[in-house]
Parts: sequence; C-alpha cells; structure tokens
Amino acid sequence: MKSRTLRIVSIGIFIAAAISAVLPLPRAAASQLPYETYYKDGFGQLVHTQAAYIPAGIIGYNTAIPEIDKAEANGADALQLNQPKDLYIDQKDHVYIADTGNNRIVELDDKGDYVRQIKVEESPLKKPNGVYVNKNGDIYIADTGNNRVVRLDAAGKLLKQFGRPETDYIPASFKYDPVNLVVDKRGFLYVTSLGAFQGLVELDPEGQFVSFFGPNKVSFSAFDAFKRLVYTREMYQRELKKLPGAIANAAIDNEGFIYTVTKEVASGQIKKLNIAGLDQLRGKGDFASVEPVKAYGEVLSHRQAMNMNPQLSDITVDPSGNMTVIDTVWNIISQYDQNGNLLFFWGGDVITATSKTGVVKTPTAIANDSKGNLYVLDNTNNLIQVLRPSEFGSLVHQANALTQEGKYEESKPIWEEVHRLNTQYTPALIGLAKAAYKEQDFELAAQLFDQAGVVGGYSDSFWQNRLIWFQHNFGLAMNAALVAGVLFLTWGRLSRKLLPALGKGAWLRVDIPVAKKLGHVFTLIRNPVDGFYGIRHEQKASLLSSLIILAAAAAAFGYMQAGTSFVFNPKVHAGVDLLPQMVQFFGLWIGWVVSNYLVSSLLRGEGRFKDVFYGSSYALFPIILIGIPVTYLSNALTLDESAIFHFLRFAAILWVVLLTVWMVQGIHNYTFIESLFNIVVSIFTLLIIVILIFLFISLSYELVHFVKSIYQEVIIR
Amino acid sequence: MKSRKLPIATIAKAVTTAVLLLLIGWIALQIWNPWGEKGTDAALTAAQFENKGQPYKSAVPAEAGFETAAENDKLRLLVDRSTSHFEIVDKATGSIWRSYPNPQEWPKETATGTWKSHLLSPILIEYVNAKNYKSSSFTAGLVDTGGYLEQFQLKEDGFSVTFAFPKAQIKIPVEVSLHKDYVETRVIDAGIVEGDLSLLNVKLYPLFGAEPYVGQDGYIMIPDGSGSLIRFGDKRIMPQLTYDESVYGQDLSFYNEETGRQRITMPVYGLKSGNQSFFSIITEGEAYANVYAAPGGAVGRSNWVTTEWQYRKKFYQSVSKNTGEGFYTYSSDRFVSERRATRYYPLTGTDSDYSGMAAVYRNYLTTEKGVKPVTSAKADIPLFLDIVGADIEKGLFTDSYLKATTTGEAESLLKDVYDLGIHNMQVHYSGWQQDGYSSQGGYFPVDKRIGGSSGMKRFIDYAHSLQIPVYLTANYTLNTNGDDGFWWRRDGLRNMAGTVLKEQKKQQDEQDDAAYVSPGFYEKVVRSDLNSYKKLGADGIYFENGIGAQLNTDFNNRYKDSRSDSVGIQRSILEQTKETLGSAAAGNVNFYALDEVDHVHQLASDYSYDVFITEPIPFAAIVLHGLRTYSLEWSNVRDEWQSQFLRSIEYGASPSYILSGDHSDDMRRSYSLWYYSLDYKNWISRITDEYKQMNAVLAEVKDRVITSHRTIAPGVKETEYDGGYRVLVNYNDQPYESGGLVVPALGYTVKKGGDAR
Repeated sequence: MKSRTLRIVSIGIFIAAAISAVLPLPRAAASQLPYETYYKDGFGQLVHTQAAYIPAGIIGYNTAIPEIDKAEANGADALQLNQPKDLYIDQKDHVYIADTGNNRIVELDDKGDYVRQIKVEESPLKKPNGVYVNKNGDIYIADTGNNRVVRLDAAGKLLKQFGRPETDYIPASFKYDPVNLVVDKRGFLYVTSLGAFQGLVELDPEGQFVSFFGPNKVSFSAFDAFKRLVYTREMYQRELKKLPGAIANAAIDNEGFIYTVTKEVASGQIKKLNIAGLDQLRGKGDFASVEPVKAYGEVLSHRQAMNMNPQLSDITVDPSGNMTVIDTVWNIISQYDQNGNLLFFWGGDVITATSKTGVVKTPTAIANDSKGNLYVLDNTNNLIQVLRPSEFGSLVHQANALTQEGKYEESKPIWEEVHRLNTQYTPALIGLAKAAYKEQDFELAAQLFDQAGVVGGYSDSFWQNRLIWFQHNFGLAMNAALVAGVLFLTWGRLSRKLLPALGKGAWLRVDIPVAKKLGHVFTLIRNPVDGFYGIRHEQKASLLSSLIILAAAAAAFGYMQAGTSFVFNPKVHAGVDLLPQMVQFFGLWIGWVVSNYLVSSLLRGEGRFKDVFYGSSYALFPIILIGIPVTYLSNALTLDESAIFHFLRFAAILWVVLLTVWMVQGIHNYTFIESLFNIVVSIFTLLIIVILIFLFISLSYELVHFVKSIYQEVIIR
Repeated sequence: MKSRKLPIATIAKAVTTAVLLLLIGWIALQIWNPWGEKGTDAALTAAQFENKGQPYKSAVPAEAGFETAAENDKLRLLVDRSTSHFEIVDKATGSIWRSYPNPQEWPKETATGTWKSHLLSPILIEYVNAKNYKSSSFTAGLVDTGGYLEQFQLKEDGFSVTFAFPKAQIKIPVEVSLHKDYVETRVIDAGIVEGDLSLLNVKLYPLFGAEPYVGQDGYIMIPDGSGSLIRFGDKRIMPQLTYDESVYGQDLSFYNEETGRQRITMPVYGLKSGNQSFFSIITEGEAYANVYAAPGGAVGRSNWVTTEWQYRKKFYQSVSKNTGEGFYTYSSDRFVSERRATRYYPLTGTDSDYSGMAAVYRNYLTTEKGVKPVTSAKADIPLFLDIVGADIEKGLFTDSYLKATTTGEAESLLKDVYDLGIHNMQVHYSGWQQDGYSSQGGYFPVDKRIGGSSGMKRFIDYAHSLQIPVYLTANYTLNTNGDDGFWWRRDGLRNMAGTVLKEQKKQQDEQDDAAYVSPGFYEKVVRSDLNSYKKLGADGIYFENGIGAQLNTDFNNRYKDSRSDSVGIQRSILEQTKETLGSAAAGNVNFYALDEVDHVHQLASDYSYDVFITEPIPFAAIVLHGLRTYSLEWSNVRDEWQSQFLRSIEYGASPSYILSGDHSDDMRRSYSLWYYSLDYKNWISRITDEYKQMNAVLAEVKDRVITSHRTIAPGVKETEYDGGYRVLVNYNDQPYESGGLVVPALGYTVKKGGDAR
C-alpha cells in the first residue's frame, strides 16, 4: 500500500520531468535566408513578410590593398579592421569607416575596393569613433581619443580642429567626448558627446558653441513623485536614473532634419528634429491612437525577456525619408517610414557556432547608399554586411513614398501588387484605404481602415458614410418621425379612452416575486440609501434576484468590452479575450464582498453576509442601465463625438461608486463618513487578501519544485 | 454521531513517518545500488595496451615505403606499413590521391603543436571522461597519445590495421579496400576496445585528398542545402570557421548545437583541386556520421573534408522542470552500426567537377540503391498544387476552425487552372484532417466542415476525370490530440534523458505543445490508415516534415529504435504506402528513402548562408533530374519572385504553388498556415504565365539527365542536359553578352546545339 504510494509519487515526479522536456526544432522556414522578416501592427500582431532585404555580400574584410598603397598601409596586403565604430557613405557611394582600433579612417569605393586610409599625419588620430563627409568632400572626424573633432579637406589635409568649446553655457562637469557628428548645410556641427544627456553639442563653423540641441526629457512617474515626497534630498539626488537619456547617435537627411537615437529609454527612442529642435514624429503614426507614446526598435515577443528593451545604437535615413535603426541587444534591424510607421523588421537568431552572410553579430553602425542598399558594420567580426532591397521591399518603398507625397492614385496599383503578394501586410491595406478615401469611396475606405486597425482613418470614413446616409435618408427619417409622432398622440388618446379603469402603468404590474424584487432597482434610483436599507431589513432582494442582476451586469460588462465600437476601443481589432476580463470582474467583486463583510462585522456594521452580497449585486445595475445603450450607441459615433461617449461612460462608473457608498451606508446603517471609512478599510483588506493568496501560491510552488529537484538530483547523479 | 472518534492525528503521524522512512531507504538504495553493474574490467583493458608496438612518428611517410596492396585495371592502391597511410594511383593518368597532406606543401604548413601532428595522423578521435560530467573532450591523434599500429595485414583487395591509443585506452580496427572504381574505408565497430574513457567520434584518414591553396582552381563540395561549394582561396572571410553537420539532420534526442543550417539529405561530399578530385559517398552507417569540412586556414593550410563517425553524443540531463537546471553528459553505450563505410571515388579531367560527382552519385543510386527513373507519358512538365483545407486558431476556450478550401471550392480551383490549358498537374491536399492542418493524430474521417469524406471522394473522382492525381498531405510524426490511441507517456518519442520530446513553439500564445510520436507507434497508425486513403481513392500520401525527413533515436523502452531502425521503419511505411495506394511523395526527402518516393517536394534550393560558403550549386537537382520530379519552394511563398523563378529554371524544377479557394486573410491567425497570400484568384494569372514559360524551357528535357552545370560569368549559370540542350540563366540586372550569346537581364535563354532561342 505504501510502496504503491511511493511508486505513484515517483511516477508523478517522473512525468513532471517529462513534461518539461521541450526541445528546439528547426521549423520549416519560409525562406532559407538566415533571418526572418516581420511586420508588427499597432496592436502588436506579428505578420510574416517576404524578406525586405537580401544579403548582398560582405565588404571591408581582407580587401586587397593595391601595391601602390601598401607603404601607406604599413606593408599590409589586405585590409583588416579592428573594432570599427562608425560608417558613413558619401554621395559617390564611397564608404568611410572609422577604424577605431587602428586609429584611422578607411575609404572604400562603391564596389567595396580599397581607396585609401586617413591617419592625419600632422596630428595623428586617436581612437576615432565617428566620421562624416560633407557634400563638398570635407571629412569630419570625431577624434574621440584626442577629445576633438577634426575637419579635413577632400585630400585629407587638416583644415580645422574643434576642441572643447570655451563658453560659460557648458557646465564644468560636462565631459566633452565626441563620438559622432553630423554637419548641416550651413556648416554647423552637431556633435554627439558620449553620455551627454544635455543633447547634441551644436557648434558654428568657427567652433563657437551655439547651444545644446535636441535634449531628451526626463521621465517622471507617479512613483518618482512619491519618492521625491518621501526621500531626503541626498537620497533623491543619488537616483542617477533621473537624468534624461543620452543621445547615442545622430543622422541628418537632405532636408536638414536631424535624427537622433537614444539608448536607455523605453519609448521615443527615435527623434526627428527640425531646425528648432522639435520632434516631428510625435503623434504622426497611423496607429497614434492605439499607442500614443511610440516605442521604436522592434522585438519578437517570444524572445523578449524581462527588462531587456532594445538599445538602438545607430540610425540611417534614405533619400525618401525611411529610417533604419539597429538594435544591439536583440540584433534586430527595424525600418520605419518618414512618419515613424513601421515597415519591416528582421533579425536572425544569434548563433555562436558560425557566422552567416547577412547576419551581424554586434551591429555598431548602419548606413545606406544611393541605390538603397544597407551597410551594417559588425564590430565583432570586423566587417561590413551589405543588404540589398528585395523586390518586395522595393515595391513597398515605392508605394509608400507615393502615399507620403499624397499621390494616392499612383500608389494604388503598387499597393495592390503588394497586397496580392502578401494579403496580411497591413501597410498595403492602409495605403489602399487612403487611396479609396481620396477617391471618395468611403465604404471601401472604412472597411479597409477597419481591417488594418487604423482608428483615425476609420472614424473619418465612417463620418463621411454617416453623412451620406443621413443625406440619403433624411426625408425618410423625417417622415418616419412624423408618423411615429402622430401614432403616439393618437395612441395616448385612445388608450386613455379605452382603458380608463386600469390606470397609468397598471397593466405592467406583475405578481411574480422575482420580478418584484428586480423592480426594487427603481427604488434604488429614486432613493438609494432607503433602498439599500430595505434590502437589509425588508427583504426587498432575494438570492435569485441578486444573482440575476450580477449575471446581467457581468454580461453587460462583457458586452462593453467586446461590443464597443472599434473607434473607442481599438482593442477589439485584435480580438478581445473575455475570459480573463470576466475572471477579474468576478474576482474583484467577490473579494470586495468578502472583505467588506469582514471589515463591517468588526466595525459594528449591521449587514449580514447575504445583505452585502445582495447589495453589492444591486449596486452594479448602472452597468446594465447605461453601459448597454452607450455601447450600442458607440457604433454610430465617430471620434468627433468622443466627448459624449466618454461622459456617459464616466457617468456609469460614478454612479456605481456612489451606489457602493450608499450601499455600505444603508446596509450597515452607517453615516456617510463612516461608510467612506469602511470602504477604505475594505479595500485595504482586499489588498492584503490578494497579497496573502499570492504569497501562499508562490511559496508552495517553490516548495514543491525544491523537493522535485532534490529527488531528480539524487536519482540521476 | 456518537461513534468512537478515530485517532486521526496518530494515524497521520504514523503514516507520514513510515512514508518518509521508506523514501529515505529507497533513495539510499538507489545511491548504493548493490545490484548495479560491477566495475568495468579496467585492469583487463589496461593489459591490452602492455605489449606496445612501435610508437607512431609524426612525419610525412616516405614515398619509398609504399607497396602495392591491391590493383585493378583502373586503380592501384599503395600502402605504407609504418604509418598505414595509403595512396591511390589512377593508372591512366598517373594522378595520385594521398591519405595524408601533400608532401611538397607540408614544409610550409602553418599549423603548430599537436595539430601539426594531428594532421599527419591516419586517424583522429575525440574522447571524454564520461564519469565526470564537468570534464571536456579531447581530440587526439596517434602521436600525442603514444599510439601505435597493431595487426597490420595485407589482404586480397587492400589491408587492415588496428589503431591503438594507449593513453586513451582505445583501439579501433579499420579496413581499406580497393574496388572497381573506388576505394572504401571501414571502421569495424565490433573490434573497438574501450577502457574507462568514452569514444565520441572518429575521423578516419581525415586528410584524404587534402590540398592547400597554391593558386589552383579548387573547392570543397558539401551537401549543405542544395549543395554548396567552398572555393579555395587565401582571402577567405573568417577563415577559422569549419563545417560539421550530422547526416540526415539533427537527432532531437541529443544536444544539438544551434547552427541554423539546413539538413543534410545526401551523405556525400567532395573535394576538387586543379584537374583532379575525389567524391565520397558514406554508404553504410551514414545515420551515425557527420560531414566535417575544414577549408584552408581553419585547421592547417590544407582544405580538407571527411566523414566524422559518431559514437556518442552529448545530451542534457535536466533535474528541474522549472529552472531548467541540469547538466550535459554522455551515455555509456556507444552507437553501434554493423558497418561503417566511406567510399572515395577518384575523378580526373572533365569528370572531376561537381557535375561529374553528381553523375557518380546518380549512378550509385540507380545501380546499387534501386532508384529506377520515374517517367511520365505526358509531354508537359507537371504543376504541383498544394491545396490548403483548413487550420485552427486560438479560440476562447478551445481552438477554433479556420476553413480555407472546401472540397467543392477545390473542384472549381482545379477546373479554373485546368481550363487555362495546364493539364499535367498533381494535387496535394493538406489540412483535410479532423480539425485542420495543425491537428495531428486521428486524421480520419475528412473534416465535415470542408466536405467530409464524401466530399473528398467526389473531389478526387473529379480530379481523376481530368487525369490529375490527388495526394493527401500527412505528417504522422507528431500528435497534438491523443487520437489514434496515442498516449504520450506510453507512445511518445523519448530522448536520452527519458523525457518525451515536444515540439517547441516560438510564441507563447501558440498551440499547445505537440508530442513527438515513437516511430514504432506511427508505423502502426499509418498501416491502419492506409485503407481509409484507399477508400477515398487517393493516389498517394505526401509526407511532410516527418517521414523521410526526420530521424531521431527513440529511447522509449516500449519501442527503442535507433536512427538506423527509424530509417527502416520510414522506408517500410513508404513502401507500404506505395504498395497500397500506388505512390508516395515526401518533402526534401533524405536520400535513404529516394527509391520509395515518386516525387521530391520542397527540395532545398538555397544554402545556409555560412560566410565560408562561396556559392550554392544545384547538386541535388543534377542527381535527381531524370530520376524523379522535384519542385522547390512554392512560387507564392518566394522571397523574390523573379530571381527564384530563374532559380527554378536553372535547377530544372517543376513549378509548385500553395493555394486556398477562398480569401485567406484570416489564415494569419492560424497556427501554421501563415503563408503570405493563398487565395488562388490572386495567383491564377501568374500560374499560367510561369507554367507556360517553364514548360517551354523544360518540357523537352523533362526526362533527361543534367550532364553539366557551371557558372559562365558572375551571376550567369548554365545547365546542360543530355543531348546538348543548354539553359542559361542570368541573375544580374545587366544583360549578359558573349560571343553571340545573349542572356537578358534577370532572364534566361535556351540553346539547342548551337541555335539560340
């Protein structure tokens, strides 16, 4: 008997171990490329797409150095980079590499062949981290080891050095470590200094300090406010994290917009700054209403571990304004259009055993040439991976550029082709929807926007559709209203004549006890405190009636979650899973009932458990009364009327809250103040109950697994 | 309620104490283990190494020491008694292939220390002290272990010798023999002696045919993807990387290093240097072999490639389900293969390139493996249509069904394509089973929601009226629902650690884990299902992602199948299927099952993008053309339309599509059928266009073999068929022109005996 128990235990443990074995399987991938390309919409839904870029080779590794240049390269016959940090591609598509470990800049031509190296013999470079080439061929180098920026002419002759600007505007504690820079048309320099949270250092062509450009803001949460309140001044100041994120890298486009990427922030990693330093991306995206604060740098959810946000290290902007960023944590390249809408992102699993063409181990810099190829600098393998746009990628770029320019009609056939190739790719739907809107096909536009999950566009199209509907049906509606009015009046007269004996509303009166008890709701509307007192002392409610109300309220709650128009509740687009919501709803409600009963029984409340139960059910009826009609109505509203919708919803919530207060007051026979106190204590109790349950579960879980591990260790070793 | 109260507390205490005592006793017993195996006869093994032979010297064997071991009209096998290295001489040309590094180049060898002597050793082994799970493995040659040769014997057709490694207490007997046009090396597993240390793998004559790069044209041919070349060179990118992959793919019952590489389907490799080359086929025991390639600069200056015989593999012994804690260890038992043989075919002149190697392999398959060419009477090339029935998505409580194509819709799909003038088609219907594509287990009857068995029967009858065969797609190696009487604890595939393997899902919100099914169990299931297929009138089964493709060792005590047992089971399933239904097809099939399938679907068409690989070649296609029909990635799942269309033409593959008869937007929510665009109405114009172009090029040569394939300029490839029919493909965005030959940019040209079309 006991040995059998033992055996069962051991089998059980064995099975538990068996369940755990989940091994990786190489899945049948769409393509055999070493990475997979995805699109993610504003709801976080992943969609596989054809590769947007295809590996096109490796340059900068073992590139032969021509005989005549060997002396310059200290006799080496092949190019070997050493921990290169930056990459710049000029208008002739020549590639400049900041070969940091070798204290030089290397220039390659458009085919990747060696051209020259620049060491600035008159004043040697030391660990240069950044390089920029102006339109006239002047080369600017962030010479990090010498704490300066140097400007060379096209031949590599030193023109000017920019040391630490001498000005009172820069605090003495500021460390001037230039790691990168961009130069605008006027010749102003925007220098990225390592870890400088003040922003880019803007210098005029003479090297005079102009200002700090484009600083990030400090994020300030409610928790921080609490800390500020509680902490001493010293403690608070020690919180180093309260500095704004430091800009990690910058780029400039043909129109003079300066793009920055910031590490160590959870959102707004990319900024597109105009000359005044204002971000042009804020609120521009198609999914702005779903994610008001956009996080850049995409991650595949299944790989995301806790607290491992992407860290963007470089950005490049192509002639049509598409931004491509690299992430050093997840090794993913993400591409956004000029408004910050995601186009694609791709990345391969990091494989240590081998290296793949097209996959970068440690991406440190990215650049693009005039043909749209991307060049990614690999700091570990000391080489540059070149990616060329695929057919699909080019089509999307082409169509999106037209859409951004407002040439919707021209974009339409290209978007149609994209849609045909990949019916699940949302930007194609959005492009087609915009084209349909432009062509005044609002029905189609609304349908496509809905399919894509774009709230703003859908709301606008719906507004147009509604207007058209009103215009078409105005006459009919008026006539119908007229007929209804006449009928109502005649009915009123007739009924008074024909049914004088019954009196007003008498025919509604029913003698079913449950119905009567449900009818008690109307007493609660008129006189809530008395109504709840009636529940306690006059048996105005029964178990059945309160269960009915509770169930109806839960159903109404579910309907509100799932049935609200897409305009006000974009979540429905991705599908609402009601089960967890319902569990939450009931869990909270039951927790409230129990804790309120426990607390009031200590605080000389008069209510019995069943009274609290009945009362708490009845307090939920505004959810039914207001929630259902509002939810129904929401389907006829657009964003312009959102105030109405939100007001009504707020009213329902407020009513429930007030009813709860009155319920406590009426059932336990408290004063208003007492009942407020009681509620606060009940909520506190509820919190403690939740924490205890949580503790109990996690501890017992730990214990069970501790025992299991010991068992396994003993058996196996 | 007045009955006497039971002393519950006392009883509970007693029971707990007893249980605890028993537990402790039992655990103690497990640790002590008095009935366990007695200590190995270590002393006995040690004694075997006492009568030491002459210690092996680290030197290139002297030319003079070689004597003829065997000879035939074509080849001569010479052997050096002191080192047991051998040479093959081609009598007609005098070309020599050596089992050791090129003596002229050896003085310039850059490898130093032990590796330098390893490169001269006729055998390299890797061993580990398996008793200590923390110890790491050692690679050893004969020199550094104080090794010597034993029982060297000349035989009628070659010689045999035993290599002894006293330090590792390991002895390995081998045989080398000369045959008509090849030399074969064998490891005799039965004669292996092991002491306390565990043998992991063996590389026999690793440097056979190896050559350093001295400016000559040359490459290593490895069976990665469709076949890949590593060209010789001195400016290679990341020269330290090597290639080491398991033949027929990873064994999920063991630890596999993540390499992101494609499965090896063909147990072959080759090496060409200048005007001569050798081509190897691992003919026996290949399920326990790796192909190991070290391009020049990785391990020594030489480029070399060899068979790495596997004897033990690492596996992960987990001890905690939650934390995933555990340790890596090795099994005490070796993989036993009755025979392990590698053949080396020396090739010279024009036959020495990869087309020549493919011809050798094709010849081997037809003459020794019974692969008879499958020909069709139809004049056109076939079009392969995969029709998707249905799949499931995550629902509120249970998975919900996503219909894609009912049998009725499939009929109109087929009709629409047929009416375009495409008459030679083959249909694979997938996702027809109960609950759609992602549901594994309990396939029959056909799901009612797409038409049920009667609908499927009607569809098949309709297809037959157009003379179109219909295959049903099935997997059988996974089970998600426990149907077919599958109980994962009893019938699941178990790994070395004894845990049942589950398919890992990429995303948390995906389908529940599917368990792998023991080969012994799925064999029974397929057998019992065959009649149901027959009743529907199906022409065959298309086995996807499992049978013919996946080979795992099963440690389930009820079935206990080794990798080679699984090969046997899969072959017998295919054979039975063919017998009952007439045909079988499989996806990117491992070549052990080639004779049993009539069509190879989804043949690999690309390489694994390792930086050391210089170019992918259509090796598999050259072998298969004329033997079997094959198709590459579905056209509508291509990353790039045009370049991959050109690849299909270059590879001589048949076009294939995966389609649904319905708007398929909602399929993106499905578990498996995420494909970009399935609705056939979107594709119908492309299908005709592509088919007509491909048929014009390939119809004439559909049953002929490919005699040669080469790169004539960067991005311009030429495939030549029997009879001088040449197809040229240009992947560049510039037209290619040379001597009156023009290949349009991103286009192709056909040349028949001189006149371009």
